Amino acid sequence: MNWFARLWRRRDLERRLDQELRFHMQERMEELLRGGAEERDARRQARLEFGGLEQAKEQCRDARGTRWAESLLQDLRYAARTLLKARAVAPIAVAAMALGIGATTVIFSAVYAVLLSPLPWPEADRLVALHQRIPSEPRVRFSPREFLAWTNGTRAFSSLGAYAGNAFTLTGRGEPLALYGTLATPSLFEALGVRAAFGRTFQPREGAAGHEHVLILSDALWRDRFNADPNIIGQSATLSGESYTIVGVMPPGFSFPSRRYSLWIPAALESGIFRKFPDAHLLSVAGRLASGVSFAQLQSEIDLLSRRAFDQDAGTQRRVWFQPLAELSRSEVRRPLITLLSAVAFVLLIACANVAGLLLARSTGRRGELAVRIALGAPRRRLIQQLLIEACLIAAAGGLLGSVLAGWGVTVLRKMGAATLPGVETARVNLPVLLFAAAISVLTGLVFGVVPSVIASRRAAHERLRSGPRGTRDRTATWAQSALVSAEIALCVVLLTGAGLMIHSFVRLASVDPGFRAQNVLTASVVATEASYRDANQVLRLYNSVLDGLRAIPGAS
Amino acid sequence: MPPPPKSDLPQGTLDLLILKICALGPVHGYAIAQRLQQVSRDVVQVPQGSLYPALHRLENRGLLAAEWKPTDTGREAKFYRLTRKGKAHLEVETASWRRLAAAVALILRLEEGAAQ
Repeated sequence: MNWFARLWRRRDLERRLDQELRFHMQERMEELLRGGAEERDARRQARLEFGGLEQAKEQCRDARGTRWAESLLQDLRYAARTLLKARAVAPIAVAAMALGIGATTVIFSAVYAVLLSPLPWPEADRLVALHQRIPSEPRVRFSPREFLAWTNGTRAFSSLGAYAGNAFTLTGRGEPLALYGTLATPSLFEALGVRAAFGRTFQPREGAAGHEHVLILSDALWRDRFNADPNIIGQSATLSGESYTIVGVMPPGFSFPSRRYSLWIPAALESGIFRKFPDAHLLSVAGRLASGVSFAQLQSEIDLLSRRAFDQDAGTQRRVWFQPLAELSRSEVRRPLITLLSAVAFVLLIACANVAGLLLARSTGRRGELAVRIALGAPRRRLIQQLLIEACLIAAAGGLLGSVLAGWGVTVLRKMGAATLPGVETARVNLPVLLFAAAISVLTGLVFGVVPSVIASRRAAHERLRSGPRGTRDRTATWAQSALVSAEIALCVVLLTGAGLMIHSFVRLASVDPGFRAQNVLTASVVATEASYRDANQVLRLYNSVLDGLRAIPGAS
Repeated sequence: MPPPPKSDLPQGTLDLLILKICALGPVHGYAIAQRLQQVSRDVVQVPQGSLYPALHRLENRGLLAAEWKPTDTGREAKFYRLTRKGKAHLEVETASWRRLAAAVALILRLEEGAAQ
């Protein structure tokens, strides 16, 4: 019978244990009877020889190896019963923990979605973005000439790609749509290491002039504008007046460089705008490190190549630097999110102090019960275990309720944060977030349970009760309660001060005078695609017709 | 005649003796105690308070297997028998005990000789 079976069938085993030991005593008694003793003497003798029945049973129970689990289960059942009866304290404590844990879980789900969730690129820690830095600007892009020099000279990168964003107009598929797309060299997809969900990514020859009219769609655009047509590969689309053949659709969840950009066309560095302006800093650069290359080696290669490239610009203060690609989108968002997480952790601490105070007050009322248990010989460890389990039960109930609240809170967060926190739209209460909620439930249960249980189980307090009149105050418990209240107030003050400062800054920002009256004014941008509007006159005619149309709207001036 | 002095058994030795008794056939706890006392001519008298915990420990370790069967008197009793694992353990421990006992005997004999 393995350990679990022994735990499960405890009652059965107890019965059998009793039966076995009694059988032994009866056999002995009968042997003595056969030897001529009287029944009462025989029974007494058998019992004496056996030693204590209960002691023997206790030792056999220890031999079972399940004592600790049995005592835990027993305490759990007892804790549940007492908590259900505590109609005043239990709901308040559970509600406090639910609010604290719920709020923390909501913010953590955002932290997870934006900062912690794995990136869609394989071995994302090998991907690196390159920038140039000059004294007035930390992030300067590369020119086509510079990029080509790097591509030819580098040995640290297994592939290096360049990209630039642009505005496009999609026509021919429903209403004309203004959108952002990325011009990307085929080597960029090679560096990222992602494959298309349908079709393919760019081939190297599409980076050359004449072959660059191909197009890769994002999953969102494909569903939105192309009806999720499974036969989309090979069809064509009109972008800014020019026709492109669709060669691939990316998987859902993939976006580069951000969710703003819904399609990719090849960046042909030898033609078009790149040829016209070979020294314009148009290109962002990202690449994958070759296997075995460390960041230190990359840095030394950068130093070497920079010296070679910038020797011609004597006295330049240009430096090339790199950062992990993952940080690129996350660095701005990290600080506000961590601040939010700290703030909500304070809220959780306040809830913990609150519940600790409640439990401490409650334990004063249970002194009689605890004194009896101590008198019966319960070790202090067992009392602490009992009280801690009650605390953890409250925390667990609070955690469950808090997770439900968090589900609703995350929906609110998604709507509110979508503009300022890229990536928060994917925040949801998924498995890692639930595990986090479970972990902090257990942790907070132990944290706020330890103070009341250690204080309430002190033998000294109960012994004093024996001699003193009823209603003696427990000085340590009172002191602890005051300390808890002070701690709560301190935490609240910190939070309120922080909130007050933030509101103050926000009010100041909002009341800055922009120099014009901004009420009831709408702005819009119009993109006149080069293909259809080839010269300045045509563009002027377009603008005038738009203005005439706008003037005709009643109420507008 | 006064009863011979009882010897207190260390726990490992008690386990060894129990396993040996059980090797001879399925037997319940009371019978084990009786057998131990009889065979050792009253030297080994196990307090029942340590016999049953030892039996349960051995059962939980898989060295003994137990079954409830009715006895001649009609009452049900828990009969223990040796498992294969227990048999292997018994052999190992018996060999170890014999080695130890021989070594102790050698050392004790040495003292007597040195005294001459």
